[in-house]
This record gives sequence, structure tokens and C-alpha cells, in this order.
Amino acid sequence: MLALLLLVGTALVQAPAAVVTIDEPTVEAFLLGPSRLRATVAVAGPQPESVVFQVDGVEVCRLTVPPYECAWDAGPRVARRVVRVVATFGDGRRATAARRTRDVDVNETTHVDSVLVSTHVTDRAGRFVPDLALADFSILEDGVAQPIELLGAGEVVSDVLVALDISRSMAPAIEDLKIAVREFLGALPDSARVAIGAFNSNLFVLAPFEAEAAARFAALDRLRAWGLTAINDTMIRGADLLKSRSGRRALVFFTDGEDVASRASIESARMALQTNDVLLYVIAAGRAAENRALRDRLSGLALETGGAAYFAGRLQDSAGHFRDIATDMANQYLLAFAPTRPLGDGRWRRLSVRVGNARYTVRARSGYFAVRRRPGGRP
Amino acid sequence: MTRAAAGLGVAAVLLVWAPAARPAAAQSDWGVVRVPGGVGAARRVARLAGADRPDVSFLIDLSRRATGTPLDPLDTPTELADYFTFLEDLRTALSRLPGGLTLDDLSGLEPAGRRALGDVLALVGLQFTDRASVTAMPSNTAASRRAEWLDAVGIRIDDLRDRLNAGEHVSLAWEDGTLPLPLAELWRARVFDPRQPPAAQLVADDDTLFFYLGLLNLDRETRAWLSTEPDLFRRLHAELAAPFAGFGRGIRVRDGAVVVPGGPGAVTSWEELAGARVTDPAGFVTRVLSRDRGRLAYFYDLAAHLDPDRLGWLLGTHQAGPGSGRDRVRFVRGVYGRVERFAPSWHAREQPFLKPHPDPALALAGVTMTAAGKVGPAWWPTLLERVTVTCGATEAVSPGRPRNAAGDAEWLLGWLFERPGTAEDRLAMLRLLQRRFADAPEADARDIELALCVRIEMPALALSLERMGADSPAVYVAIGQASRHVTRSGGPRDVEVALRAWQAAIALVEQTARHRGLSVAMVEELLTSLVARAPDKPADPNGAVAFWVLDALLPRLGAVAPADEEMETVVLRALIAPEPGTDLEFDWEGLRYRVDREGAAARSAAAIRDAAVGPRLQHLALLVSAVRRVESAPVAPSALEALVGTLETVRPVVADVDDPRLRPAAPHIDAAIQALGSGDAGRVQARQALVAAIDAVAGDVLPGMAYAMAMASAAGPPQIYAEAFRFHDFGTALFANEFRQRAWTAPRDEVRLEGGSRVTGALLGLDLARAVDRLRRLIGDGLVDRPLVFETDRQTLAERLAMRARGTDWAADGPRVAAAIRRGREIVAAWRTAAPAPDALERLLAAAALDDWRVSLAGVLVTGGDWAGVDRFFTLTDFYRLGTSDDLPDGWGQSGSGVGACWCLLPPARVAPDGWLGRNAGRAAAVTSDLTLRVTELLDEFGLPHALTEALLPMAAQDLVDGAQQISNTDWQAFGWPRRLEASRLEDYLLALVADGVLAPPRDRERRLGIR
Repeated sequence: MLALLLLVGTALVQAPAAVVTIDEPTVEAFLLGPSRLRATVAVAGPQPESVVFQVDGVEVCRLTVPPYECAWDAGPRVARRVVRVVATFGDGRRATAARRTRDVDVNETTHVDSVLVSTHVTDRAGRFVPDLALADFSILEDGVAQPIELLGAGEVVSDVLVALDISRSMAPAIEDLKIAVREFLGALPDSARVAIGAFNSNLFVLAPFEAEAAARFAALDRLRAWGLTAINDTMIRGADLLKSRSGRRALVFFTDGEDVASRASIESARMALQTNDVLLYVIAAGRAAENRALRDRLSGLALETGGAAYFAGRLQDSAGHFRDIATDMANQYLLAFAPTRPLGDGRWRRLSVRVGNARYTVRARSGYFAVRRRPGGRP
Repeated sequence: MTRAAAGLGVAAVLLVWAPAARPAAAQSDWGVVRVPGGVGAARRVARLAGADRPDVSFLIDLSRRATGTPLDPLDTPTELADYFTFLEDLRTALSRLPGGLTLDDLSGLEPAGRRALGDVLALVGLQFTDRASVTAMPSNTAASRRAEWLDAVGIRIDDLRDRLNAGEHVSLAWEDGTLPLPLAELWRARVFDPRQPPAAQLVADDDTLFFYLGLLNLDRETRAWLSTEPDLFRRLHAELAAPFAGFGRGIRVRDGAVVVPGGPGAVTSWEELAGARVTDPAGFVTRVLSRDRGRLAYFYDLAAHLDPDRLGWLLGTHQAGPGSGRDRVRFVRGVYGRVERFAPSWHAREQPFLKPHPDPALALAGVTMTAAGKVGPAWWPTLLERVTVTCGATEAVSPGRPRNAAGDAEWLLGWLFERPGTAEDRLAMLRLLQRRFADAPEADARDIELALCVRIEMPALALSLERMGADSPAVYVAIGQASRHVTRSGGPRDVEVALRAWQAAIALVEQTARHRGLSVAMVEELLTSLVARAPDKPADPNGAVAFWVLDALLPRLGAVAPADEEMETVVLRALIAPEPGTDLEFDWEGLRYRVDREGAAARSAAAIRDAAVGPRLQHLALLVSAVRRVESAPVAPSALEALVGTLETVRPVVADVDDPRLRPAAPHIDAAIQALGSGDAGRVQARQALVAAIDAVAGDVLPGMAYAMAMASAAGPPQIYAEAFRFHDFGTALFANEFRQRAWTAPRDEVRLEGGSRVTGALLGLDLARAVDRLRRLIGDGLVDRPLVFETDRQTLAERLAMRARGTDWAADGPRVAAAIRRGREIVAAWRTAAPAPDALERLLAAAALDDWRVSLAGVLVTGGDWAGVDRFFTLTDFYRLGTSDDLPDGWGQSGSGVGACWCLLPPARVAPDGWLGRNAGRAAAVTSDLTLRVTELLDEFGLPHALTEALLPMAAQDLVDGAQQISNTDWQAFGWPRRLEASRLEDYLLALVADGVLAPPRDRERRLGIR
């Protein structure tokens, strides 16, 4: 009986009664990684105009015809969540149902205690070297060799947040930016899950990871410039959004200005990127490219994660750099290791990735903070 | 639009001179003025935000630009007038083309028709390319403005060009609107130029808008009297529009005489001041508005808006007042003298909407009066006079000033405004005295005197103490003196080391009290014990604060934990969210939830600390225990070895963050390790080094914890706040001579030269300095438009989010407040079937503290049956006040940091909002409580516990900031936005609370599933 009560929501407004039933996830299920959400709507009369699935208050899909089911990535950690379904009818009536999923105290997966190391290997001509095997790699942590795994090669980046500067200074250039980003989105593999964000002193998510490609392109049309630039805070917010993704995570960050509005220091941004295993790509144009100190900081941040930074004196030149990033993300090795020393001291550990062939050039994550990762919660 | 519709517009012109059809029956002094293109289009052209506001308030909305600092000013002041004139000219030109606008058969047109066509084309910005087609005129400012104007009424130039070139017959037309115009006949006779569109003349200059506002501020009977005084009408418009709008609200004329504030007993006083008889209303009004550069008008307005007790006190008509007759007149003249002389540079007549802060009106509204017309016991005035000398608020009491310490109005205004720049401090002292020490006996006078000095010398400390509930003057004195001792104990760097730990210790008590609530006795006990442990030489290494935290504070608060890697996390949880006795649970959509706001805050604080590198409380505890070990003689070699091992684990952690500018800890730990290497003999040296290390580490760990507690539950990821404490600026680096004062000022978030921001001032009240970080935007919301809310008003809204209304009984008060709103709504709804008589409506709305101009406009809406306008007119605060005469409880209040000089919640007083504006910024957001009221209303509708209110406000406040569109800083109506907050949005907020863990599963379920 209790289960039935948990399963069933009732119409908020009077007859004819509609009943929404959440079929998946089931009662007290765990949600982890790619998951399926499914509901049925029982009603005498017309079907609802829309059925919206929300997870923890965020809309993850909206359907207009049955079957009411959609895929959703629950991320790499089990967490207690509330799945809610809202059916809205043409006459304004709504019916809802909610279900709480389970959390567990011990929910560390292998990846939580593992350190992911994106590695880009090129030959003397600058071409990506595609066919290396696990035995070709070694990783030293503060000089000590670590047992490693090779998780993938090629298009290993699967979850990408594109964060675009929309601060006031971008007003004259925003149309050019839209064109460059459209081209970039078109160059990404179909398998990539891409979210579009716009930032000034806030980060606005214009298209979530679950959005269809068309929605991403449409999101770009909504860009308009206002506010001040906060680079550090946006990197932190971006890392925070990416951390719940179960795939290899990358932040593609475009800015044209100096950081004048961040709360956080660049050190905090660095920690956020590192502790959430985010690969950072930066394109800095205009004033951001002209400021040597800022260039150095952004380059350092990006290279440390295994990513790269590009600088364009003119915004029009940034289109080429977006293409460079798309190419770079499609040509990587993803290594992982479980540190032989326990995490928790919070200190920076230096990494050195090597390949057997001395003719090859390696660009890889150069270190990480040994922060203990707490299960659940927002950290 | 059809030609017929355009014809309706022409017919409407006649209404300018005639009373409006529907209002006419009830409000004979009202007419209407035609608005070319309609009010909505005029709003767009004027770039006036707030399309959801009723049309009737358009001119008042427009006047906001002139009464305050506009957020989005017009390019040219006459733009709107030019637009109205343009539309009228275009309509006239179109009327000369009876066949409509077409390029078809041009050869058949008479010369006059050809000229008329050319005129229309020129007006809309088109020109012939050849005989049969047109193109847009070259682009320039005038052309683009014209295109915007046409666009506002639905005419697109490109579309028009294409249709004409395609040979179509095009009929250009637009709907007009109307606006209410009081005393329309007099406007026509005495103000309007018949050659110009009346609407254009109304908006052409600020003075005309002010005059319009002033007329709306009069009540019906006074307006009726003014209708018989055409010369005065003209003079008010031509010469006195600004003071009339700003200070004319209190003018009341009945039966041919002015009804003065204070009634018949005050007539002589006012006549003396004005130099005119009340039986000569025109002369009296003119004199009041024009004398003394507007000061008398300001004084009159001030008096007219005081409650009876304060008014009696001001005019000497209270029970202990100066009798009657000439004494009273002299008294009032003396009081007025104070008002006339304060802030000499303020020209009240020219700047009626920009008042000095504080000013007598604000001061009198906030000060409490006794029944005997005093500010407190008879010994208070002498005490306050003495304080200004004792603690250096001024150099000295003016020797020539009479020692009138009677505590009456003249004394108070004289004392407050004795010198420029001191009034704010003195008002703050008086308010602290009235709020916290009102019941203290005269025997405590010396302590109170010193406690008030703390308010001046170390405002953040006094504000924090008051916030924690401390009400013992002795505690203020003790902690104040100890704090002063710390601050004066050495040079800037040594003092900064000592201040970091000292202020952080107080801040830990403050933040604990904020989160979980502490009794006044507990607060005072803790602070007294801190003072008792204060070192004699604070700038020398002493470790005293760290010892106090670990030995006294944490045990007393039940926050003790072993010095392992979880220690700080466990302690933070205990400080913020001790095990609750009873949980609040509720059901929603078939699921049961437990409200765990403190638990979520504790997790957030721990996450913030996790995201920072550097030492933790456990490292401090290890150093403290190391000192204890070396103090206990003798120490066995094996124990010494273990001690060195401990210190070696702490050293690298502190070395990472040592501040070379101050006293780094790592070298001291090295010195201690070295001293311990010489065996038991090195104990004394080791202790000395360890104590120095403890001070340095305490200066990092304790501020870090205080910041984490202050920023707990902030909206962003924890890394954003993790290192903020290391940027904190006491002013020691830049202000070598002033830092001792700056270090105790209320903290402020300031821009750093190197980018980003930092907090300057004290470590107390950090949550308020960083309050805007609590505004929470939901992740799925997408991009919003540029906010049209002043930063200062945003700060006011945000400060509410940091403040906890622990004294509020949400379960009892919530339903009562919701019921009052409901009653208010029902009262207004009932007018649709039975509109009240104008007089009754005026009384009802005045009692609900609507501004006078709003009372007038509400009358227009109700008598005109404009129910759509009514729906957009009333605020939630209006509904509440219509529904009950009770004041709102504290939980529905706003930050009192601006007006009340306290870190406390102050419900908006039942005072017309405009009376509060024009002073210090950030007040517009505080004169109503609509956001909290709307949340209350929705929670009641959902049947959910009202205790959720404060948890929901961060999201609702962000929506308000995103949605409200302020015209200027005097525009408080923008904060009426919450009436648009929908129930489904509240559901989004609730789900976000689920994601944050504020709404958690019931404990029994968690236990069953093995969840901690």
C-alpha cells in the first residue's frame, strides 16, 4: 500500500482525474550512469499536451506523445534523487508524480578514487599518434611509477561544456562568435554530449547535456551581451556542472576579457578543474589575448589538465582555434591510475606521462590535488 | 487599424477637455488626456520598464526618472514628447490622404494630394527612388528614432516600403490610449498650449510631471478646493512644482481653511512659521512651499506624516509639553530651527527627492517615544551628551549651545544634527540604546556610556553583539575594551595576526548563533570567557585565542572531536547543526520530507573548507596539544620523538599557505623541532616557538572556519568561497594610520585591483557582506536579460537571505499572515460588485498606508471599473494591510542595516513607501515585503509548512532580481513583481531544496537504508 502511495500522484485540479505513474526508476532504485526514465499517464479523455521529467528540479526531457520515456545520465556516483513527472493538459490541468531514489553511504566507484589522465601524443610532424598500447605508457607521480589502465583512445571526450563569454565587451563580436561555435559544434562527433553555457559574472546554461543538436544551435541564437567577466568563477561553475557527468569531461572556454568579477582565485579554479578531472581548452581573444599575465595563467591552467590554450588577437581568428580543439579532443588517450598513496592531504601531486618512443611528444595532465572526494553532496 | 478606429482616436481628443465618462460620476475633478499610440507604446518609446504596471500609473512611473537616478535614461529629455508630436503630425498628414497611402496611379493625383503623400512619406522616412517606388531615407539618428517610434505602434518601415512598392493601398493607423488627469479644466485653461498635443506637454519637462504627481498626492477635497484657485494652480506648476510634489502630500484644505498637522492646537505655531493664516489657504500653501528654500515645506511634510504620539512630541502638544500659547509657539519655532539648519548645503526646494542621510524625518520615524514625550528616562539625554564627548564622536559639546537636556524634540534634533557627519553615528547610538538597554537602570549609566562608544569606535562589534542578542552593557564594555586592547597592541602586521584570531573567535560565536541560535546567556558567557582569556600583550606570541576556542568555546557548544582528519568537519557540523530534538516533516506529492536546513548548511560549510588548501582545526589542535606536552615536565625521549613526528606532519600543510607578510608558522615549527632535538632542556624554547606557530595557524584556520560558516549554503560551488578568507582585508596594508578603525567597520565586499573582490573591514557580519552570493538561480533557467535592479537594492534583498528570523513562530504566524492577504484580496475583489464610496475608499487605502498618489489612482481604477488595472495595481503588502491592522512579524521583514542601523530584520512600517525614499540607497527594496508574502501565500495554498519560507527565499529573491524592472532608485513598485510568482515556480524551488539536501527523507527511512 505504501509503495502504491509512493507510486501515484494525483491531479492537482479537478476532474477528469489523471494519474501519472512513474515506471522507471522503480521504488528505491539506485541511479547510476546512463539511466532510463519512464512514466505512464492514465486519463479518460485527451492525452496531456506535455509530459516533463525532472530530476532534482531540473528538466531532463519533455515529451508530447507517448511513450513517455527518455534517457538520462545519472553520472558516476549514486546519489539520492527525486524524479518528478509533470503532465500538463490542454485545459491547464496538471498531474504530477514523484519518486525518490536511493542513496548509499559507500558509493565510491573506481573512477572516484582513480585519477584520469588525458594524454595527447604527436610525432615530429605534429600528427597524432593513434595506435599506442598500454605498455607504451608510464605515469610517474612525484617521481614514483603508478600502475595504470588505458581506458580509451581517439574520441574519448564525451561530455563537453562550451562556456562562452557574453560580457558587455562582447557586444560587437557576438555574431562572429556564434558562427565559430556553430562550426565547432558541427565538428564534434555525434556521440558527444554537449552543453552550451554563456557567462558574465554568472554562468547560464542555455542548452543542457541532454539537449538535441538542434536545441544547441538554437541556444546560440539567444546569446546577448551584458555584465562583467568572471573567468575563475565560471571555470569553477563549469567544473561543478561537469562533475556529475559519467564520461570524459571537457570545458571549452571562450573569453575576450580580463577577470574583473570573480569571487574565487585562479588557484581555486585550478583546484576545481583538477579535482573534477576536467580537461580545459581555452580560447582567449581581444584583451584577454593581449594581457601577458592572463595568457600565462590561462595557458598554465589548460596545460595542467592536459588541454590547451589558444590566443587570437582578433575574434575572427578564433574560428580556427575552435577547429583545433575539435581535432584535439578527437585524438587523445585516456589513462587512469589509482594512486599508490592515499588521497586526502589536499596537496598537489606532480604527474609525468611518458611514452616509450622518444621521438614522440607528449602533452598530458601534469598533476592533481590529492583531495579526498566525499560521496554525495555538492563538493 | 481601420480608419474608423482612427476616428475614435479623434473623438477621444475631445475627452481631454471633458471629464471622463465613467470617473465623472464619482470623481468630478478628473478628466482624461489622450495618449497618441496608446500607453503601452509610450512605455516602449520611453524605455520604461514594467509593462505589467497599470496604465494609470504611467506618468508617475515616468516621473521616477526625475525623482531618482534612472537606470535606463532617455537619449534626449524630450524624446517622448517628440514622439507624441510626431504621431499627431503623422495623423494630420494622413488625414489629407482620404484614399489611403498608395503609389498606385500617382499620375492621377492632384498636386495637393501629391504634396500630402510626400509629407507622409517624409514623416515615416521614405523617399521616392523614381516616380513609382520608394526607399528608406539614409540612415541617421533621426531616421532610426522615427523607425523606433513607428515600430512602437506596429508600423514596420521595411514592410510599409515593400507594400507600397507592390502597389498596395496601405492604411496607417494606431490605437490611442488615455490617462487620468485631475483638474483637467484647469490644465487646459492655465497650463496647456492649445497648439501642442496635451500628452506631449505633460511629459515635456520634469516640473510638469512633478506637478501632476503633486496633484495626485492631494486628497479629493483639497483638489476640489484647488480647482477654485486657478492662480495658485498656475503658480504651483510654474514655480513650485518640485516642492509641491515632494512635500505637498500633507496639505489638507477643508471648508476654506488649511487643516494643519497637530490640529487646532498647532494652528498658531504653523501660522507663525508660515507667516500666513490658515484661513487664507492659497497664501498659506504658497508660503509653506516656498519659504526657507523649501525647509518649511519639508518640516510640514514631516509633521503631516508622523503618528499622533510623535507629532505631539514634535509640536509640544504631548502631556509634558510646553503648555500652550506663546510657549508652544516658541517651542515649535525652536524645533523648526533645528530642521532649518541641519545639512546646510541641502536645497530642499530644488532637491525634494534627494534627502541627506539621515534626516530628521527618518530619525523621528525610527526613534521610540515615551508617553511623556521623551526618548527615554530623564537621565538619557545627559548620558548621550556625555557620550559624544567621552568617545570622541565629536570634539566637544558646543559651548554656546544651551544645556537643554530635556529629551524633547528640540533637544533630540539639536543633538543628532549638531555637526555635519555625526548624525548617522548618533542616531545609531540612540537606536542601540533604545533597542538593547531600554530597561537598564541608571546605575548602569557608566557601562552604557562605554557600550555606546563601542558602537562608534567598533561598529561591527556592536552590530554583531546586538545581532547575537547581547543586552548587558557590561558585556559590550568588556569585549569592547579587550578588542580595543588587541587593536592597539602593536604595529599593523602584529596587530593583524592578533586580529585575525581574535575577530574570528567572536565571529565563530556570531555565526553559531546565526545558524543554530544561542541563548543570550550563552552568548554573554562565551564572550566573557574570551575576554577573561585575552592576553596582556596580544601582539606577542601567546596562543590565547586558540586555547580558548579548544578549551572553552567548543566544549561549551558541545562541539568536541578528536584531532583526526575529520575533526574540523565534525566541529563545523556541531556548531551549525547539533542533533535536533524534533524534526519538521511534511508530505508533498506522495513523498515524505524532513526539513534539514542546518544539516545542509553544515555540509556546505564542510565542502567549502574541503576546497581550500592549508591547515585545519585538527592541525591547530595538534599544535595546542604539543604545547601541553612540552609544558608537562619531564618529557620522555620517546614522547619527544612522537611529538616531533606530529609536528613534521603539520609543517608541510601550514608551509603551503604561510603568509610571508605576516608571521609564518613553518619557521616556528622548525624552531620547535630543533629545540626538541636538544631533549628536555629545549622545552622552554620549543614552547615559545610553538605558541608563535599556533597564533599564525589560528589566524588562518579560525577565519577560514568563520568564512565557511558565513558562506554556508551560498549558491555557488564551494571552491568559489574556499579561499575568500585569505583575501580578507583589515586595511593594515594600505591604511597604516587608519586600520585600527577600519578593522572594526562593518565588512564590505569590494573590488580588488587585481580583479575579483574581497571583503574589507571586520570578520563580523561576513554573511551580510557577501549576502548576494545567496541569491540562487535555478540551473535550468537559461540566460536572463540584464537585470534592472540597483546593486544597492539587490544587496538589501540579499541581506534578508543571510538573516535568520529565529524569533518568528512560522507555524503560528504563517497562516495568520496568509489569512490577512486572503482577506485583503477578498476586499478588493468585492469592489467589482459593490464599489465603495470615494470617501470610504480613500480612508480605507490611506489606512493601508498607500502613498497618496496611489490612493488617487486606485480611486480612478475602481470608479472607472478598470479591473485589469486593479489586478496590476495592488501589492501583496497592500493586501496584507487591507486584511489586518497587525504589523508584520519579523520574519516578513527586510534588512535593517540601511534604515535601522542594525543587522536585524525590520518589517516595513505602516508608512507610505515614498516617505522612505530619496535617502540612502537600497531602500526601495525594503519598503514592502511582497516576496516573503507571496511565498507565504503559496505555501499556504500548497498546505506546506511555513518554516520553509527562509529556505525558499534565495531562489525567489533571484527571480525577483531577474524579473523586477526598476525605473530609478526611487522606484519601489518594481518590487511588486512577486504577484507574478506562480505556484509551479514554487515547485521548482522545492525540488531544488531536495537536490541541496535541505529537504531530506525522514530519519527513520535513512536509518533503515543505512544512510548516515
